[in-house]
Amino acid sequence: MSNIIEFQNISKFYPGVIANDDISFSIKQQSIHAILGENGAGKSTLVKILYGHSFHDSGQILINSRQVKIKNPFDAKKLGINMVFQHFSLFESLSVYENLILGIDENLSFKKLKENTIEICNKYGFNLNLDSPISSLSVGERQTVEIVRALLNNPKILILDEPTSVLTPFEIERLFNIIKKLVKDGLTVLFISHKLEEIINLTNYVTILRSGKVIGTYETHKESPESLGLKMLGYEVPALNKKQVINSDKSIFEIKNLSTNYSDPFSVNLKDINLQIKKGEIMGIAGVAGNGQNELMDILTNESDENFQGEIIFKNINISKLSTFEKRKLSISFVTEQRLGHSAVPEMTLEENVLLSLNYKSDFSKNDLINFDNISDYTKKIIKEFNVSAPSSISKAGELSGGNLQKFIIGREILSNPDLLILSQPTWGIDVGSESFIRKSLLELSEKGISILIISHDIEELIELCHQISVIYQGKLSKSLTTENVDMTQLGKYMGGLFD
Amino acid sequence: MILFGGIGGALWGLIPAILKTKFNTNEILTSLMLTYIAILILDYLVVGPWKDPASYGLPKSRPFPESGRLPVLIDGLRAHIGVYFSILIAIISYYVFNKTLFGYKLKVTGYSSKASKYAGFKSNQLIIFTFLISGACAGLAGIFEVSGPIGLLYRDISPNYGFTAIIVAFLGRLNPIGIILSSLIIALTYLGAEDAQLFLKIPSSVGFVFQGLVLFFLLGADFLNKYKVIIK
Repeated sequence: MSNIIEFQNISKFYPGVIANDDISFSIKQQSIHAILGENGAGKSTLVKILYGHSFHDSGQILINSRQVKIKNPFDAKKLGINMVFQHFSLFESLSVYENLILGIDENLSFKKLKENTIEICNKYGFNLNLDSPISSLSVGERQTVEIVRALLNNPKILILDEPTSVLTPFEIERLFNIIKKLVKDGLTVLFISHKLEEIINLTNYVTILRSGKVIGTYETHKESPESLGLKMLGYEVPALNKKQVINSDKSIFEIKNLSTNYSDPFSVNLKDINLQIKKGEIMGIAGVAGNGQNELMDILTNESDENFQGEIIFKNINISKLSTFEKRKLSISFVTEQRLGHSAVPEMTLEENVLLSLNYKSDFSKNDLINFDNISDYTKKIIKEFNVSAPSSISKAGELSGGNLQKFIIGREILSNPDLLILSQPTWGIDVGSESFIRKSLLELSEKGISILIISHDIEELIELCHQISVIYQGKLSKSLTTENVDMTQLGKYMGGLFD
Repeated sequence: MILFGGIGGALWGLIPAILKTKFNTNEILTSLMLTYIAILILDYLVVGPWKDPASYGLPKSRPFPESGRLPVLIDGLRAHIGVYFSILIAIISYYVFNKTLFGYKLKVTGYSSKASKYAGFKSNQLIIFTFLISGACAGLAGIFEVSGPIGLLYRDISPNYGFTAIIVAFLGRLNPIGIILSSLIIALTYLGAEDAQLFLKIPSSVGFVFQGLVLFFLLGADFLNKYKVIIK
């Protein structure tokens, strides 16, 4: 099989960073080729160069052994390169059909477009209602619209950027079957991911990037998840060991019959949620994004302005009506999904950010006066114990990388000695090093007898950390499964809403 | 009189605060529009009920009696005790913003309302309180001006002091102590513009042009500090 794409010595510089450093490798026709690397390893930059979103500073790209200049996505489409982004570019209020029209560059009659769409849908078993508005579709269906839109351009090369991060296990399997079929029909697929298992299961070749450089290109069937992980990181990820609890039967935290009645069409209503966490237990709430996780988190932190029915009990106290401030005083800590502008203020220093969640402590503020000496000591302690790489304790929070800021925030909450820690997406969008550090800290915390609730889209993370796992689907919460020897098929069914 | 000036300003400041907390309006727009309303009310007063009968038809009020005037600091000059007040207020606000939890709450709420909720602050209370204090300060500034150097009410009492205050605040890097210094510099442009008109026959508007340029270049320099211009 001949090479369809050849990257030759591609380099791309941004101020202060080399995003792509002398990248050379080639992609064989009709193959599924993975590009693997951590966040910030240069995957996105490389793909953007190929799709004409940005231009490389040196080197060249060959398509079918012919040197090409791709100045914009329009050039890329003319060469048969199409891309499905991680963040969809669909118009919410328009119908599927209207969105498809908008993605087509050539002039096509409505009738012809409809014929083509139906042909593609029949061929690959897509089940799309062309007239329904995008806002009524699930995330998986939206992705299908994006893929159909790309296929309508008759591509030779299809780039999929982290396509599985928003899908349930079921949907992932279906996507993989479609990809395999597409390749059989002559397409070449470039698959961007940082999930090792998927790459092994799906792709033929894998190119590994680390800090902007190519580590190598390998045939996937000769590799294992461990060997790929080692090459991707350059060091071995320390294995986590989870101690099984739990001696006490008594639950420390309990949600009873929690329901909401929002009139806002963009929020999900929670329906009769019940949940119990024991002392030292780590409880996980899995589920595809947008199934009520944010609404639940807002109620737990008391940031929602709306009313709800049901009770939240902590240490035998009904805390349903308590403010964020009073909950913190009862030693409940929160880490929200969004870092910048929510659990940290980027314009403020790290010391000032300590005060954000710990302003109830009398060590830090008494009679409305701030004690900056104590805060400074505390900040330095976080930086030291949680390996935060920051120039100083008065650096601005916005200057830290995502991983370092998240370590700082989680450190801030852990060192405040909570009895219950509630986290949403604790390792979202951060580097693998910080991720494994945070996971390790959480496990150590649970060994000390502290209960933890984790809301996450990352099912592997939950299985690694949690003792019990529940799934949220359209505002309903499944009963919890014990994570040890969990039946993945059953978990997959739960994530698709198959539970009562 | 000073007290009522403060209270009046606070109540006027309460209007955009309530509009913001109840209806989520943009406080910049509502307060800007309210200044026009305030100017028109003043207009009405000086041509209507408060008009000076001895003014030969000019729209102005009677001069305030001596008891309604602020003492002058140094004889022969126009500086009055309002100067002490403004320096005091700048020092107090420096202290509040840097040492107290209250100032911290204001800062967090200003940067991000979500972070303020996360911290457990009651942002609506804070917003109303801030507008009350700021309104009171603006009211004080007004009363000092009319009872100090001017001594009566007339139509164009403020040569855009309110808007110049924005330039002063940015030039002082939003730092209360910096603002003391920057206000002195901007004051020079007012005086300098008058002198230029008197002695060089240059229109005094040159002073405003100069103020505008200062703000323009200051914000421009801030922007260029953060971003790099790339010409493709």
